[in-house]
Amino acid sequence: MTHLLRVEILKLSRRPRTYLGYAGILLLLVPMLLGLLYGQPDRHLRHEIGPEFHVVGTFVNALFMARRMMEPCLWFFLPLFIAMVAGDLVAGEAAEGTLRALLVRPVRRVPVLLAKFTVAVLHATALTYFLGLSALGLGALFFGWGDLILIEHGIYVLGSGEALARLAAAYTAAIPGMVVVAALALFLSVLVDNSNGAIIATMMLLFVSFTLGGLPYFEAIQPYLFTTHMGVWSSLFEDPIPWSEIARSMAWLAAYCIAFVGAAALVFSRKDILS
Amino acid sequence: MIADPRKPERSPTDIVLRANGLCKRYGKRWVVDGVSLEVRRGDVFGFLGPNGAGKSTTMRMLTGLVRPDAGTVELLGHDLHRRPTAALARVGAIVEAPALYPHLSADRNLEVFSLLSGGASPERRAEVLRLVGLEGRGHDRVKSYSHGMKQRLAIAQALLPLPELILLDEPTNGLDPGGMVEVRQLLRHLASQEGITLFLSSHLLSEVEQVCNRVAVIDQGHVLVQGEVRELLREQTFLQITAEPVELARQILETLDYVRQVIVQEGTLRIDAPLDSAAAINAALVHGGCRVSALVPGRQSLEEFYLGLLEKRS
Repeated sequence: MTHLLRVEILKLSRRPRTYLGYAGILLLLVPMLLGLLYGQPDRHLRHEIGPEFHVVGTFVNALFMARRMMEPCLWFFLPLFIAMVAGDLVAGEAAEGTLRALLVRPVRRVPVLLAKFTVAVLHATALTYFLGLSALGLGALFFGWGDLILIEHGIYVLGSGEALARLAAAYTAAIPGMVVVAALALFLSVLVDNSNGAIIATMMLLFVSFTLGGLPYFEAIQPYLFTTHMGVWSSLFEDPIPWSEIARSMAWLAAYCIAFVGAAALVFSRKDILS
Repeated sequence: MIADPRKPERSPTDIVLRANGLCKRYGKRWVVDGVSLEVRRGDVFGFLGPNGAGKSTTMRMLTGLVRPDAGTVELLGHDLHRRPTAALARVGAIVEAPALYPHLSADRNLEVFSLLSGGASPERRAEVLRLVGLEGRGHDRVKSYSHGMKQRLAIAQALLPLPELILLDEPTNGLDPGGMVEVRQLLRHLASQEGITLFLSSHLLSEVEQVCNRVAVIDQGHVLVQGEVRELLREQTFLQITAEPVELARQILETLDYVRQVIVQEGTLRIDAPLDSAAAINAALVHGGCRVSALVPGRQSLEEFYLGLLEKRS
């Protein structure tokens, strides 16, 4: 298994597609940075909290930027970047023909798939932390450090130490959701011989699940949708932190992950390699 | 003789590849129907058949890429389905076009593939590159390689695990004449100098005739014939007669019991008859009033044999 993992890491690290996500994150930071620099965010936020609160100083700092980057990135861009890599792991090799060269070697298919899933997890993890660290780094460079003022389910003012700890916990808690996206993309990648198909199908399923999660008519099924639990990281900014709810969401995400990887392993182990 | 310490011991079996009753169906169509093959140690085995005959599907079943609906495959004495890693441990294979990672260098490609077979030292990787004539190009990215170089690199990766058996699907497909000659020379070298058993799937009859000692011919999913090339062609002998007048000679020949078939081709007669009947045939023709100027025993080429076989079947 370590040999297979080395092979997968070697291949992934040399593939230009792997680095698109990192470049994408850096590109996304630019408009956020410009918005915070020139969009008068303090005025908007003061308006949001109302005239009864008197805020001295500024809302905007590195911690604020790292928090603000989470919504657009963790709901859309990171899943897209992760699907681009995980969806390519099997289907991309099938299209290039290297899958058959790989599988005529003395290797078992399930460990091959698990090695691919492991690198997808590593990629998702690295990308999530890269988002947080780059947002913090750029934010510190342009806005400095300070307390984090949150306007979520009320107004919270977190000292910089606690805010940093909560941000670290939130980014870490976002990883399981990203891993489920990777598992879904890998499963779809096993079903098709074209990575674009797997990537598009992953994003479509994600949107369908988001849509169902947002419509009141589907309340009955919403607790079972994986997208409902992907946002578990936001609970880490609540006070008190709802640990039991977080644990339940994590269990759901783990179950989804096992289901997608298990299904992928089942299909892959029986699949005729015709590409 | 000193044993090569790097070389693991050979498996004791003399039959390095045995396929028994392989069947594969796609939809309602049986693409491969009861294919049985036997490849002995030291063979250069040609697997012939027209396009769509079931060669590629059989090849994929022999390498574990496709799961047969029925039948078994044994490689080096190990059942491929039950013990795939043991069966493929000393087997190299190229199925269809050479498949390599274009964004990696040749050496990195070899590293990737060697890791899947338990690893190979940089010296071994350099050795296989030298063997296929790619020394000095190991650090170049594969996307800069020509088709012939990719084919040779694919053969190099197949050689990494010190294989006892290599399966190659259309090894000279897409190569220019120079590249074809190079690959054929390499295959001969691997068989004669390295002692590797080769299984070549091909539709190039001249290539198979030049390189292989045994063949099997497949058509519409069935093996039509299998055996030593020399033996198969020895059975396919004929007599070529130049006699005047041709029409009279044909009539005389058709009256002889031991003449099975008479074909008139461009003024000469080609007859299917035992070679030891040549003297009697000559006497009959002369006695019947023909002037016989040549009576030459001949042997079918593999191409003629193959085409005849397919014609009979159709």
